[in-house]
Amino acid sequence: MPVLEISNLSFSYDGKNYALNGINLSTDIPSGILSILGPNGAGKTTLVNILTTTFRPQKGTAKIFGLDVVKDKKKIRGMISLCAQDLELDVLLSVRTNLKFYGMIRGIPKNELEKRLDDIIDMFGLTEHQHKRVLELSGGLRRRTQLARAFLDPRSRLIFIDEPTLGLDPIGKKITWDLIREMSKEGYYFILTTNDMAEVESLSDEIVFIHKGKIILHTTLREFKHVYAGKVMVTFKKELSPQLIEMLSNYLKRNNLGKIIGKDTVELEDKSAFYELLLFLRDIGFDITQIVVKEETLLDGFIKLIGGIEK
Amino acid sequence: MRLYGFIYREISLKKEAIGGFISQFVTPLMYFLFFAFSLSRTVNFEYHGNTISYLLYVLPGIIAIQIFYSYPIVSSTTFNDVRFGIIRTSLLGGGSLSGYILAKILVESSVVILVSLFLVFIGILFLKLSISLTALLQFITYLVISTMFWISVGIVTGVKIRGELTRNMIFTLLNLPIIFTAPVFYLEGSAPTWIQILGRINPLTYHVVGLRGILLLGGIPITFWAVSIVLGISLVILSIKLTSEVAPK
Repeated sequence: MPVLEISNLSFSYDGKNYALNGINLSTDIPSGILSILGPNGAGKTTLVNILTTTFRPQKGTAKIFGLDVVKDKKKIRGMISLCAQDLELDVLLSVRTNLKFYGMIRGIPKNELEKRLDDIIDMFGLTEHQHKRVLELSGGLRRRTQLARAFLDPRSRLIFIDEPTLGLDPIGKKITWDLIREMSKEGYYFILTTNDMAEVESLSDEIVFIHKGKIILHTTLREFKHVYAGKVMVTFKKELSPQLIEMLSNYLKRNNLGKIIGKDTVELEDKSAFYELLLFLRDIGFDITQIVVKEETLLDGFIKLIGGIEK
Repeated sequence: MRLYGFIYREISLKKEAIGGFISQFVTPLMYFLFFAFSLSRTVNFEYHGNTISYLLYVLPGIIAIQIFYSYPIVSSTTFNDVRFGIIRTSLLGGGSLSGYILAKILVESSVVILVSLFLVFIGILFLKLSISLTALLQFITYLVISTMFWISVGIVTGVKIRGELTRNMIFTLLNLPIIFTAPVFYLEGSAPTWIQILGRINPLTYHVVGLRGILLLGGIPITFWAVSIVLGISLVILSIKLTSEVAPK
Protein backbone atom coordinates (compact mmCIF):
# COMPACT_ATOMS: atom_id res chain seq x y z
CA MET A 1 0.00 0.00 0.00
CA PRO A 2 1.60 3.31 -1.05
CA VAL A 3 2.24 5.90 1.65
CA LEU A 4 0.75 8.52 -0.64
CA GLU A 5 -1.70 7.89 -3.45
CA ILE A 6 -3.23 10.78 -5.32
CA SER A 7 -5.58 10.30 -8.21
CA ASN A 8 -6.90 13.00 -10.55
CA LEU A 9 -6.97 15.52 -7.71
CA SER A 10 -8.31 19.01 -8.45
CA PHE A 11 -9.06 22.05 -6.34
CA SER A 12 -10.20 25.56 -7.18
CA TYR A 13 -10.69 28.49 -4.82
CA ASP A 14 -12.97 30.42 -7.15
CA GLY A 15 -14.47 27.73 -9.37
CA LYS A 16 -12.63 29.07 -12.43
CA ASN A 17 -8.89 28.85 -11.89
CA TYR A 18 -7.50 25.57 -10.65
CA ALA A 19 -4.90 25.66 -7.88
CA LEU A 20 -4.54 21.92 -8.45
CA ASN A 21 -5.54 20.44 -11.77
CA GLY A 22 -5.80 16.67 -12.11
CA ILE A 23 -2.81 15.65 -10.02
CA ASN A 24 -1.69 12.02 -9.94
CA LEU A 25 1.01 10.65 -7.67
CA SER A 26 1.76 7.33 -6.05
CA THR A 27 4.77 6.74 -3.86
CA ASP A 28 6.05 4.65 -0.98
CA ILE A 29 8.50 7.41 -0.12
CA PRO A 30 11.26 4.77 0.15
CA SER A 31 13.83 7.15 1.59
CA GLY A 32 11.30 8.52 4.08
CA ILE A 33 11.57 12.09 2.82
CA LEU A 34 9.65 13.61 -0.10
CA SER A 35 10.17 17.23 -1.08
CA ILE A 36 7.53 19.17 -2.95
CA LEU A 37 9.04 21.99 -4.96
CA GLY A 38 7.55 24.66 -7.14
CA PRO A 39 7.39 28.41 -7.63
CA ASN A 40 5.11 30.58 -5.48
CA GLY A 41 1.45 29.96 -6.28
CA ALA A 42 2.22 26.60 -7.90
CA GLY A 43 -0.23 24.74 -5.67
CA LYS A 44 2.15 23.24 -3.07
CA THR A 45 0.32 24.58 -0.02
CA THR A 46 -3.09 23.68 -1.47
CA LEU A 47 -1.87 20.12 -1.96
CA VAL A 48 -0.56 19.97 1.61
CA ASN A 49 -3.85 21.42 2.89
CA ILE A 50 -5.76 18.62 1.16
CA LEU A 51 -3.38 15.91 2.35
CA THR A 52 -3.57 17.19 5.93
CA THR A 53 -7.41 17.21 5.71
CA THR A 54 -7.64 20.99 6.03
CA PHE A 55 -9.34 21.30 2.63
CA ARG A 56 -11.70 18.86 1.01
CA PRO A 57 -10.76 17.91 -2.57
CA GLN A 58 -13.32 18.96 -5.17
CA LYS A 59 -12.41 16.26 -7.68
CA GLY A 60 -10.36 13.10 -7.43
CA THR A 61 -9.05 11.27 -4.38
CA ALA A 62 -6.07 11.34 -2.07
CA LYS A 63 -5.04 8.54 0.25
CA ILE A 64 -2.47 8.39 3.02
CA PHE A 65 -1.42 4.93 4.18
CA GLY A 66 -4.44 3.71 2.18
CA LEU A 67 -6.86 5.95 4.08
CA ASP A 68 -9.03 8.43 2.21
CA VAL A 69 -8.52 12.07 3.21
CA VAL A 70 -12.28 12.69 3.18
CA LYS A 71 -13.79 9.46 4.50
CA ASP A 72 -11.06 8.64 7.01
CA LYS A 73 -9.99 12.13 8.02
CA LYS A 74 -10.20 11.45 11.75
CA LYS A 75 -7.91 8.42 11.49
CA ILE A 76 -5.53 10.36 9.25
CA ARG A 77 -5.40 13.28 11.67
CA GLY A 78 -4.21 10.88 14.35
CA MET A 79 -1.37 9.66 12.12
CA ILE A 80 -0.01 12.94 10.79
CA SER A 81 1.44 16.18 12.11
CA LEU A 82 1.74 19.52 10.42
CA CYS A 83 4.22 22.31 10.88
CA ALA A 84 2.80 25.16 8.84
CA GLN A 85 4.65 28.25 7.69
CA ASP A 86 2.33 30.52 9.70
CA LEU A 87 2.96 30.84 13.42
CA GLU A 88 -0.04 28.82 14.69
CA LEU A 89 1.04 29.14 18.32
CA ASP A 90 -0.67 30.79 21.26
CA VAL A 91 1.57 33.81 21.63
CA LEU A 92 0.36 34.60 25.16
CA LEU A 93 1.22 31.14 26.45
CA SER A 94 4.64 29.72 27.24
CA VAL A 95 6.50 27.29 24.99
CA ARG A 96 5.80 24.41 27.39
CA THR A 97 2.11 25.27 27.80
CA ASN A 98 1.68 25.43 24.03
CA LEU A 99 3.26 22.01 23.64
CA LYS A 100 1.37 20.54 26.59
CA PHE A 101 -1.95 21.80 25.24
CA TYR A 102 -1.19 20.21 21.88
CA GLY A 103 -0.12 16.96 23.54
CA MET A 104 -3.43 16.82 25.40
CA ILE A 105 -5.39 17.52 22.22
CA ARG A 106 -3.45 14.73 20.51
CA GLY A 107 -4.53 12.41 23.29
CA ILE A 108 -1.02 11.57 24.53
CA PRO A 109 -1.56 9.79 27.88
CA LYS A 110 -0.86 12.01 30.89
CA ASN A 111 1.88 9.75 32.29
CA GLU A 112 3.78 9.87 28.98
CA LEU A 113 3.19 13.52 28.19
CA GLU A 114 5.46 15.19 30.76
CA LYS A 115 8.38 12.92 29.88
CA ARG A 116 7.81 13.46 26.17
CA LEU A 117 7.66 17.23 26.73
CA ASP A 118 11.01 17.19 28.56
CA ASP A 119 12.60 15.15 25.78
CA ILE A 120 11.28 17.20 22.88
CA ILE A 121 12.05 20.54 24.56
CA ASP A 122 15.60 19.36 25.18
CA MET A 123 15.91 17.97 21.65
CA PHE A 124 15.08 21.36 20.11
CA GLY A 125 17.30 23.32 22.49
CA LEU A 126 14.34 25.03 24.13
CA THR A 127 14.99 24.08 27.76
CA GLU A 128 16.02 27.55 28.90
CA HIS A 129 13.16 29.15 26.97
CA GLN A 130 10.38 26.71 27.89
CA HIS A 131 8.68 29.00 30.40
CA LYS A 132 8.89 32.11 28.23
CA ARG A 133 5.81 33.29 26.41
CA VAL A 134 5.97 32.74 22.65
CA LEU A 135 5.50 36.50 22.29
CA GLU A 136 8.92 37.01 23.91
CA LEU A 137 10.78 34.61 21.61
CA SER A 138 12.83 35.40 18.52
CA GLY A 139 11.57 34.20 15.12
CA GLY A 140 14.01 31.29 15.14
CA LEU A 141 12.95 30.08 18.59
CA ARG A 142 9.29 30.32 17.59
CA ARG A 143 10.05 28.16 14.57
CA ARG A 144 11.81 25.63 16.80
CA THR A 145 8.73 25.55 19.03
CA GLN A 146 6.53 24.87 16.03
CA LEU A 147 8.82 22.08 14.89
CA ALA A 148 8.93 20.64 18.41
CA ARG A 149 5.14 20.49 18.36
CA ALA A 150 5.12 18.66 15.03
CA PHE A 151 7.49 16.05 16.50
CA LEU A 152 5.70 15.77 19.85
CA ASP A 153 3.34 12.90 19.19
CA PRO A 154 5.32 9.72 18.46
CA ARG A 155 2.22 8.25 16.81
CA SER A 156 2.47 10.75 13.96
CA ARG A 157 4.01 8.59 11.27
CA LEU A 158 3.87 11.23 8.56
CA ILE A 159 4.99 14.77 9.25
CA PHE A 160 4.28 17.64 6.87
CA ILE A 161 6.62 20.59 7.18
CA ASP A 162 6.17 23.78 5.20
CA GLU A 163 9.60 25.41 4.74
CA PRO A 164 11.26 23.42 7.56
CA THR A 165 14.10 25.72 8.40
CA LEU A 166 12.63 29.08 7.46
CA GLY A 167 14.10 31.69 9.80
CA LEU A 168 16.36 29.24 11.65
CA ASP A 169 20.00 29.95 12.42
CA PRO A 170 22.64 27.40 11.28
CA ILE A 171 22.41 25.52 14.60
CA GLY A 172 18.62 25.32 14.38
CA LYS A 173 18.94 24.13 10.77
CA LYS A 174 21.41 21.43 11.72
CA ILE A 175 19.24 20.19 14.62
CA THR A 176 16.21 20.01 12.35
CA TRP A 177 17.95 18.36 9.42
CA ASP A 178 19.66 15.79 11.66
CA LEU A 179 16.39 14.99 13.37
CA ILE A 180 14.50 14.59 10.10
CA ARG A 181 17.24 12.31 8.73
CA GLU A 182 17.38 10.28 11.94
CA MET A 183 13.61 9.87 12.22
CA SER A 184 13.25 8.97 8.55
CA LYS A 185 15.58 6.05 9.24
CA GLU A 186 13.35 4.98 12.14
CA GLY A 187 10.30 4.61 9.89
CA TYR A 188 8.81 8.09 10.03
CA TYR A 189 7.85 9.78 6.78
CA PHE A 190 8.28 13.45 5.92
CA ILE A 191 6.70 15.59 3.25
CA LEU A 192 8.50 18.89 2.97
CA THR A 193 7.47 21.87 0.90
CA THR A 194 10.51 23.99 0.36
CA ASN A 195 12.33 26.26 -2.01
CA ASP A 196 15.60 26.04 -0.11
CA MET A 197 17.82 24.11 -2.49
CA ALA A 198 20.47 23.43 0.15
CA GLU A 199 17.74 21.81 2.23
CA VAL A 200 16.52 19.71 -0.67
CA GLU A 201 20.07 18.60 -1.41
CA SER A 202 20.74 17.80 2.22
CA LEU A 203 17.55 15.90 2.95
CA SER A 204 15.66 14.66 -0.03
CA ASP A 205 16.03 11.67 -2.19
CA GLU A 206 12.62 11.97 -3.82
CA ILE A 207 11.28 15.20 -5.29
CA VAL A 208 8.04 16.37 -6.85
CA PHE A 209 7.83 19.55 -8.91
CA ILE A 210 4.51 21.33 -9.09
CA HIS A 211 3.85 24.11 -11.54
CA LYS A 212 0.53 25.85 -12.23
CA GLY A 213 -1.42 23.19 -10.38
CA LYS A 214 0.14 20.20 -12.12
CA ILE A 215 2.90 17.79 -11.20
CA ILE A 216 5.47 18.26 -13.92
CA LEU A 217 8.14 16.00 -12.51
CA HIS A 218 8.38 13.21 -9.95
CA THR A 219 11.85 11.83 -9.71
CA THR A 220 14.85 11.16 -7.52
CA LEU A 221 17.29 13.89 -6.64
CA ARG A 222 20.10 12.01 -8.39
CA GLU A 223 18.10 11.69 -11.60
CA PHE A 224 17.05 15.34 -11.46
CA LYS A 225 20.62 16.49 -11.02
CA HIS A 226 21.73 14.27 -13.86
CA VAL A 227 19.14 15.62 -16.27
CA TYR A 228 18.78 19.23 -15.16
CA ALA A 229 21.67 20.18 -12.96
CA GLY A 230 24.57 17.86 -13.69
CA LYS A 231 26.35 19.89 -16.32
CA VAL A 232 29.72 21.53 -15.74
CA MET A 233 30.53 24.76 -17.55
CA VAL A 234 34.20 25.41 -18.27
CA THR A 235 35.06 28.93 -19.39
CA PHE A 236 38.48 29.81 -20.79
CA LYS A 237 39.86 33.15 -19.69
CA LYS A 238 41.02 33.90 -23.25
CA GLU A 239 39.30 33.08 -26.52
CA LEU A 240 40.48 29.76 -27.98
CA SER A 241 42.32 29.61 -31.30
CA PRO A 242 40.41 28.03 -34.26
CA GLN A 243 42.83 25.06 -34.22
CA LEU A 244 42.30 24.41 -30.53
CA ILE A 245 38.51 24.72 -30.93
CA GLU A 246 38.57 22.11 -33.69
CA MET A 247 40.81 19.78 -31.71
CA LEU A 248 38.71 20.14 -28.56
CA SER A 249 35.44 19.79 -30.44
CA ASN A 250 36.55 16.51 -32.05
CA TYR A 251 37.76 15.19 -28.71
CA LEU A 252 34.50 16.03 -26.91
CA LYS A 253 32.37 14.58 -29.74
CA ARG A 254 34.41 11.38 -29.99
CA ASN A 255 34.11 10.69 -26.25
CA ASN A 256 30.55 12.00 -25.75
CA LEU A 257 31.74 14.43 -23.10
CA GLY A 258 29.95 17.62 -24.15
CA LYS A 259 30.12 20.47 -26.63
CA ILE A 260 31.74 23.86 -27.27
CA ILE A 261 29.59 26.94 -26.89
CA GLY A 262 30.96 30.06 -28.60
CA LYS A 263 34.71 30.64 -28.60
CA ASP A 264 35.51 30.31 -24.91
CA THR A 265 33.10 27.91 -23.21
CA VAL A 266 32.72 24.17 -22.97
CA GLU A 267 29.58 22.53 -21.65
CA LEU A 268 30.35 19.14 -20.13
CA GLU A 269 27.84 16.41 -19.33
CA ASP A 270 29.04 15.77 -15.77
CA LYS A 271 31.92 15.94 -13.34
CA SER A 272 33.70 12.88 -14.74
CA ALA A 273 33.77 14.56 -18.16
CA PHE A 274 35.49 17.47 -16.51
CA TYR A 275 38.28 15.25 -15.18
CA GLU A 276 38.77 13.78 -18.66
CA LEU A 277 38.93 17.28 -20.12
CA LEU A 278 41.58 18.23 -17.60
CA LEU A 279 43.71 15.26 -18.63
CA PHE A 280 43.31 16.17 -22.30
CA LEU A 281 44.29 19.79 -21.70
CA ARG A 282 47.35 18.71 -19.72
CA ASP A 283 48.40 16.31 -22.49
CA ILE A 284 48.29 19.06 -25.13
CA GLY A 285 50.24 21.41 -22.82
CA PHE A 286 47.40 23.86 -22.08
CA ASP A 287 47.74 25.97 -18.94
CA ILE A 288 44.85 24.74 -16.82
CA THR A 289 45.03 27.74 -14.51
CA GLN A 290 43.44 29.67 -17.38
CA ILE A 291 40.02 28.10 -16.93
CA VAL A 292 37.02 28.89 -14.72
CA VAL A 293 34.74 26.02 -13.73
CA LYS A 294 31.09 26.31 -12.70
CA GLU A 295 28.98 23.37 -11.75
CA GLU A 296 25.21 23.66 -12.28
CA THR A 297 23.35 23.84 -9.02
CA LEU A 298 19.92 22.54 -8.13
CA LEU A 299 18.68 26.10 -8.43
CA ASP A 300 20.01 26.24 -12.01
CA GLY A 301 18.20 22.98 -12.69
CA PHE A 302 15.03 24.29 -11.12
CA ILE A 303 15.14 27.47 -13.22
CA LYS A 304 15.97 25.46 -16.31
CA LEU A 305 13.00 23.16 -15.71
CA ILE A 306 10.54 26.01 -15.13
CA GLY A 307 12.03 28.01 -18.02
CA GLY A 308 11.62 25.03 -20.35
CA ILE A 309 7.98 24.68 -19.44
CA GLU A 310 7.28 28.40 -19.82
CA LYS A 311 8.75 28.27 -23.38
CA MET B 1 -8.27 14.32 27.93
CA ARG B 2 -8.97 16.27 24.75
CA LEU B 3 -11.70 18.44 26.28
CA TYR B 4 -9.42 18.84 29.27
CA GLY B 5 -6.74 20.04 26.84
CA PHE B 6 -8.98 22.91 25.74
CA ILE B 7 -9.92 23.65 29.37
CA TYR B 8 -6.23 23.60 30.34
CA ARG B 9 -5.54 26.15 27.62
CA GLU B 10 -8.40 28.45 28.66
CA ILE B 11 -7.24 28.34 32.29
CA SER B 12 -3.65 29.01 31.21
CA LEU B 13 -4.83 32.02 29.21
CA LYS B 14 -6.66 33.32 32.29
CA LYS B 15 -3.50 32.86 34.37
CA GLU B 16 -1.40 34.69 31.78
CA ALA B 17 -3.90 37.54 31.62
CA ILE B 18 -4.29 37.77 35.40
CA GLY B 19 -5.00 41.50 35.13
CA GLY B 20 -8.07 40.81 33.03
CA PHE B 21 -9.20 38.14 35.51
CA ILE B 22 -8.87 40.58 38.42
CA SER B 23 -10.73 43.26 36.50
CA GLN B 24 -13.62 40.80 36.03
CA PHE B 25 -13.93 40.91 39.84
CA VAL B 26 -13.22 44.58 40.29
CA THR B 27 -15.39 46.07 37.50
CA PRO B 28 -18.77 45.00 38.96
CA LEU B 29 -17.59 46.17 42.37
CA MET B 30 -16.69 49.55 40.87
CA TYR B 31 -20.15 49.82 39.31
CA PHE B 32 -21.61 48.93 42.65
CA LEU B 33 -19.48 51.24 44.76
CA PHE B 34 -19.34 54.32 42.59
CA PHE B 35 -22.46 54.22 40.45
CA ALA B 36 -25.08 52.45 42.54
CA PHE B 37 -23.92 53.95 45.85
CA SER B 38 -24.04 57.47 44.46
CA LEU B 39 -27.70 56.98 43.53
CA SER B 40 -28.71 54.92 46.55
CA ARG B 41 -29.56 57.93 48.77
CA THR B 42 -31.77 59.63 46.20
CA VAL B 43 -33.84 56.78 44.88
CA ASN B 44 -36.32 54.48 46.64
CA PHE B 45 -37.70 51.41 44.95
CA GLU B 46 -40.86 49.46 45.22
CA TYR B 47 -40.31 46.14 43.56
CA HIS B 48 -43.26 43.71 43.22
CA GLY B 49 -45.02 45.28 46.18
CA ASN B 50 -41.97 45.40 48.45
CA THR B 51 -39.84 48.41 49.23
CA ILE B 52 -36.23 47.37 48.87
CA SER B 53 -32.94 49.21 48.96
CA TYR B 54 -31.71 50.55 45.68
CA LEU B 55 -28.40 48.74 46.11
CA LEU B 56 -30.17 45.40 46.49
CA TYR B 57 -32.29 46.16 43.43
CA VAL B 58 -29.19 46.98 41.36
CA LEU B 59 -27.14 43.96 42.52
CA PRO B 60 -28.62 41.38 40.04
CA GLY B 61 -28.21 43.89 37.20
CA ILE B 62 -24.54 44.34 38.02
CA ILE B 63 -24.13 40.57 38.01
CA ALA B 64 -25.76 40.57 34.55
CA ILE B 65 -23.35 43.28 33.39
CA GLN B 66 -20.34 41.17 34.31
CA ILE B 67 -21.89 38.27 32.35
CA PHE B 68 -22.25 40.63 29.39
CA TYR B 69 -18.57 41.57 29.74
CA SER B 70 -17.56 37.98 29.00
CA TYR B 71 -18.56 38.76 25.39
CA PRO B 72 -15.66 41.13 24.52
CA ILE B 73 -13.19 38.88 26.35
CA VAL B 74 -14.24 35.80 24.38
CA SER B 75 -14.55 37.80 21.17
CA SER B 76 -10.94 38.89 21.49
CA THR B 77 -9.56 35.41 22.29
CA THR B 78 -11.58 33.81 19.49
CA PHE B 79 -10.36 36.45 17.05
CA ASN B 80 -6.77 35.59 18.00
CA ASP B 81 -7.47 31.87 17.79
CA VAL B 82 -8.62 32.30 14.20
CA ARG B 83 -5.81 34.72 13.34
CA PHE B 84 -3.05 32.53 14.76
CA GLY B 85 -4.49 29.28 13.40
CA ILE B 86 -5.13 27.81 16.87
CA ILE B 87 -8.55 26.46 15.87
CA ARG B 88 -7.09 24.83 12.76
CA THR B 89 -4.13 23.33 14.64
CA SER B 90 -6.31 22.03 17.47
CA LEU B 91 -8.80 20.42 15.14
CA LEU B 92 -6.14 18.87 12.92
CA GLY B 93 -4.49 17.66 16.11
CA GLY B 94 -7.62 15.69 16.99
CA GLY B 95 -9.69 18.19 19.00
CA SER B 96 -13.30 18.96 18.17
CA LEU B 97 -15.09 22.22 17.56
CA SER B 98 -17.65 21.45 20.25
CA GLY B 99 -14.77 20.76 22.68
CA TYR B 100 -13.21 24.11 21.82
CA ILE B 101 -16.49 25.99 22.45
CA LEU B 102 -17.47 23.91 25.49
CA ALA B 103 -14.12 24.68 27.15
CA LYS B 104 -14.69 28.40 26.63
CA ILE B 105 -18.19 28.14 28.11
CA LEU B 106 -17.02 26.03 31.09
CA VAL B 107 -14.06 28.22 32.04
CA GLU B 108 -15.78 31.56 31.45
CA SER B 109 -18.94 30.37 33.25
CA SER B 110 -16.80 29.30 36.20
CA VAL B 111 -15.31 32.79 36.40
CA VAL B 112 -18.77 34.34 36.11
CA ILE B 113 -20.14 32.04 38.83
CA LEU B 114 -17.19 32.85 41.09
CA VAL B 115 -17.61 36.62 40.66
CA SER B 116 -21.41 36.36 41.00
CA LEU B 117 -21.22 34.32 44.20
CA PHE B 118 -18.80 36.91 45.54
CA LEU B 119 -21.35 39.66 44.77
CA VAL B 120 -24.19 37.60 46.28
CA PHE B 121 -22.05 37.15 49.38
CA ILE B 122 -21.65 40.94 49.60
CA GLY B 123 -25.44 41.24 49.21
CA ILE B 124 -26.00 38.80 52.07
CA LEU B 125 -23.42 40.52 54.29
CA PHE B 126 -24.32 44.17 53.71
CA LEU B 127 -27.71 44.40 51.98
CA LYS B 128 -29.79 41.87 53.93
CA LEU B 129 -30.17 39.66 50.88
CA SER B 130 -31.64 36.31 51.81
CA ILE B 131 -31.59 33.45 49.35
CA SER B 132 -32.78 29.87 49.68
CA LEU B 133 -30.73 26.90 48.48
CA THR B 134 -33.25 26.25 45.67
CA ALA B 135 -32.99 29.85 44.53
CA LEU B 136 -29.19 29.63 44.69
CA LEU B 137 -29.19 26.56 42.43
CA GLN B 138 -31.60 28.29 40.05
CA PHE B 139 -29.34 31.34 40.14
CA ILE B 140 -26.24 29.32 39.20
CA THR B 141 -28.11 27.51 36.41
CA TYR B 142 -29.38 30.80 35.05
CA LEU B 143 -25.87 32.25 35.20
CA VAL B 144 -24.58 29.39 33.05
CA ILE B 145 -27.41 29.79 30.52
CA SER B 146 -26.95 33.54 30.19
CA THR B 147 -23.14 33.23 30.08
CA MET B 148 -23.53 30.64 27.32
CA PHE B 149 -25.43 33.26 25.35
CA TRP B 150 -22.87 36.05 25.70
CA ILE B 151 -19.88 33.74 25.17
CA SER B 152 -21.50 32.57 21.95
CA VAL B 153 -21.99 36.19 20.90
CA GLY B 154 -18.27 36.68 21.61
CA ILE B 155 -17.34 33.64 19.50
CA VAL B 156 -19.60 34.72 16.62
CA THR B 157 -18.18 38.26 16.54
CA GLY B 158 -14.61 36.98 16.98
CA VAL B 159 -15.01 34.66 13.99
CA LYS B 160 -17.03 36.90 11.69
CA ILE B 161 -15.60 40.38 12.30
CA ARG B 162 -12.06 40.11 11.01
CA GLY B 163 -10.93 43.67 11.65
CA GLU B 164 -9.73 44.29 15.20
CA LEU B 165 -10.63 47.99 15.02
CA THR B 166 -14.13 47.24 13.67
CA ARG B 167 -14.67 44.73 16.45
CA ASN B 168 -13.59 47.23 19.11
CA MET B 169 -15.73 49.95 17.55
CA ILE B 170 -18.82 47.74 17.55
CA PHE B 171 -18.29 46.87 21.21
CA THR B 172 -17.79 50.53 22.14
CA LEU B 173 -20.94 51.54 20.25
CA LEU B 174 -23.07 48.75 21.70
CA ASN B 175 -21.70 48.81 25.25
CA LEU B 176 -23.74 51.71 26.65
CA PRO B 177 -27.02 51.07 24.76
CA ILE B 178 -26.99 47.42 25.86
CA ILE B 179 -26.31 48.25 29.51
CA PHE B 180 -28.68 51.24 29.73
CA THR B 181 -31.64 49.90 27.75
CA ALA B 182 -31.68 46.95 30.14
CA PRO B 183 -33.28 47.86 33.48
CA VAL B 184 -30.09 47.56 35.51
CA PHE B 185 -30.15 50.93 37.25
CA TYR B 186 -33.79 51.95 36.95
CA LEU B 187 -37.12 50.35 37.74
CA GLU B 188 -38.47 47.97 35.08
CA GLY B 189 -41.13 49.83 33.06
CA SER B 190 -40.16 53.30 34.29
CA ALA B 191 -37.95 54.29 31.34
CA PRO B 192 -39.21 56.35 28.35
CA THR B 193 -41.13 54.30 25.77
CA TRP B 194 -38.35 54.30 23.16
CA ILE B 195 -35.87 52.97 25.72
CA GLN B 196 -38.39 50.29 26.72
CA ILE B 197 -38.84 49.26 23.07
CA LEU B 198 -35.08 48.95 22.65
CA GLY B 199 -34.93 47.15 25.97
CA ARG B 200 -37.33 44.49 24.71
CA ILE B 201 -34.97 43.51 21.88
CA ASN B 202 -31.97 43.61 24.19
CA PRO B 203 -31.05 40.11 25.46
CA LEU B 204 -29.44 41.64 28.56
CA THR B 205 -32.90 42.85 29.67
CA TYR B 206 -34.05 39.23 30.01
CA HIS B 207 -30.89 38.25 31.88
CA VAL B 208 -31.27 41.20 34.29
CA VAL B 209 -34.96 40.53 34.89
CA GLY B 210 -34.33 36.79 35.22
CA LEU B 211 -31.52 37.12 37.74
CA ARG B 212 -33.45 39.74 39.70
CA GLY B 213 -36.51 37.51 39.82
CA ILE B 214 -34.48 34.57 41.12
CA LEU B 215 -32.45 36.57 43.66
CA LEU B 216 -35.17 38.87 44.99
CA LEU B 217 -38.39 36.90 44.42
CA GLY B 218 -37.06 33.35 44.68
CA GLY B 219 -37.86 32.32 41.10
CA ILE B 220 -39.02 33.22 37.60
CA PRO B 221 -41.87 31.89 35.42
CA ILE B 222 -41.20 28.74 33.39
CA THR B 223 -41.72 30.65 30.11
CA PHE B 224 -38.83 32.90 31.08
CA TRP B 225 -36.62 29.85 31.59
CA ALA B 226 -37.73 28.45 28.25
CA VAL B 227 -36.96 31.67 26.36
CA SER B 228 -33.55 32.01 28.03
CA ILE B 229 -32.61 28.39 27.35
CA VAL B 230 -33.72 28.58 23.70
CA LEU B 231 -31.78 31.84 23.26
CA GLY B 232 -28.65 30.38 24.87
CA ILE B 233 -28.70 27.11 22.96
CA SER B 234 -29.52 28.81 19.63
CA LEU B 235 -26.50 31.07 19.99
CA VAL B 236 -24.24 28.13 20.89
CA ILE B 237 -25.43 26.30 17.75
CA LEU B 238 -24.88 29.43 15.66
CA SER B 239 -21.37 29.84 17.09
CA ILE B 240 -20.51 26.21 16.24
CA LYS B 241 -21.90 26.69 12.73
CA LEU B 242 -19.93 29.88 12.10
CA THR B 243 -16.72 28.59 13.67
CA SER B 244 -16.91 25.53 11.42
CA GLU B 245 -16.46 27.91 8.47
CA VAL B 246 -12.92 28.69 9.62
CA ALA B 247 -12.19 25.12 10.69
CA PRO B 248 -10.61 22.41 8.54
CA LYS B 249 -13.30 20.94 6.29
